[in-house]
Amino acid sequence: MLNRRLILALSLFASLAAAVPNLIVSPNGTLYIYNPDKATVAEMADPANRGRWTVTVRHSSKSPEISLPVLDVTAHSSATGPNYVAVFVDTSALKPRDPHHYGWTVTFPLSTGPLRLTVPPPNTSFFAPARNKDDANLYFFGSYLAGEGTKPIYSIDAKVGYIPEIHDSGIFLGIEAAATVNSGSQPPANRTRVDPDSITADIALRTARGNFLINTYPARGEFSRKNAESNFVPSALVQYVPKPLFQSPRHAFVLYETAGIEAGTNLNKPASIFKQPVNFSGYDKILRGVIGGYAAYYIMKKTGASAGDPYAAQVSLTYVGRILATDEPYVTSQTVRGAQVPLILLDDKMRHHIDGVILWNVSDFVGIQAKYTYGALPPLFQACAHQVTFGITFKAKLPGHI
Amino acid sequence: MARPVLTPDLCQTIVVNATPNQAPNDATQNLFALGVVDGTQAQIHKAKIQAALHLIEYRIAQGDILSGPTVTVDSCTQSVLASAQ
Repeated sequence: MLNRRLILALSLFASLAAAVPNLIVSPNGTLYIYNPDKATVAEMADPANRGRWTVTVRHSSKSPEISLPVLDVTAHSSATGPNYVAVFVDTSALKPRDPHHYGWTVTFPLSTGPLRLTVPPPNTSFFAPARNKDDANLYFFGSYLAGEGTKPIYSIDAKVGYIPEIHDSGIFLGIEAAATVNSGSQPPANRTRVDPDSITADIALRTARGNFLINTYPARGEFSRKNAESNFVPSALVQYVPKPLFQSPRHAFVLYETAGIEAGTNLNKPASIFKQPVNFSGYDKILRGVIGGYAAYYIMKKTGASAGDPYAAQVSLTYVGRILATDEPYVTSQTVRGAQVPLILLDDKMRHHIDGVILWNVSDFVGIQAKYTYGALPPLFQACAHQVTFGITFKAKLPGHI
Repeated sequence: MARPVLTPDLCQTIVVNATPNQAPNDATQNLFALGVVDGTQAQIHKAKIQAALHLIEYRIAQGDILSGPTVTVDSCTQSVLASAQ
């Protein structure tokens, strides 16, 4: 199915770029030839030439061809609407009746040369490019900080997920996981380590209603590997997606707001953090209100924009605020006699997290990215001061539905 | 409601009506000009096309709909016409 979709997408873009004829098979079995050569439209639609059309279908590449009689051919032209030649065929010989279960071949002997258009039978395939982290099934952002007096510090922001649509229901169900590694590390570091600060893994259920995107996570875990901390926190989030606040032919500014709830329980808590004993005995049930926003400014490419890579540049800012109803850990630092020492609290103050991204897309799969991070993420809410990293982003996408 | 014949013109009307800006109705312009400026808007656009098709008793998977900033109205229309059932 995806292979068919990719071929359709490629043929659509190719046909628009080069204005070559493109065959579309409608669910009613009518064939539409888009971008017809204007000089030959009259020849194609001439009733006297109806018998010169041949239309054949194949259920698969190995099954025999079935020839379908052509009933009528009409031309349609409009200044603003679609321009096409419609070929009406008798599909009564098709079993099953759905014309999209077949591969189609249409031929017509034009005076300028033979016209042959095909739609392949359904098939399957794999990767396609993704537009951004939220759209990606596989995402990886890495950075490397090296300097005098500090060991190298790695920063990794990774995401993996597969959330296909359940048939054509508009409901997407799948699994995903995300990890942020060493995001809070600051030089000088006395040794290099790669420890996940915040890992989430969940079962995701997504749908859209009107201008709202609804994301629910009936099972969701939050983990911090290096401090043996984990929570089970199902959540539900609603994002309001209005039309862009500002738009010109190549520029747009959007603002999407999010609200939701996270509720669950702590699964295990550390006895010590950074070699300091901690008492988290009052840390058990979890209830958080979540508010947030996504603001972005997009600049379209002047030329060469593609579906997977439309922007010359984009600047985005994501904010998430968590309003705690119960006490939860908060790990920050304080200066004692000129030295930074960890300060570990258990309180219900609001937690903030900000991600700012400036992305320059080099290709469909690779982008150069500068990232700003501030705030704290669950489960341990380890504070990250204003941190700027630079790196390379890799993006890829898996099939959209199963 | 009787299921109407799904023509290119009907598909184009559905595609344009599902965009944030909805007009002008020009088959050659890309969806960015109609407000589908990013992947989030494309998700909403696809869901609205799917819902509009359901109302006239057609079915389509959102993954089969071409939408996004660089997709033209014509390309989106053709993807709907080619994949609706």
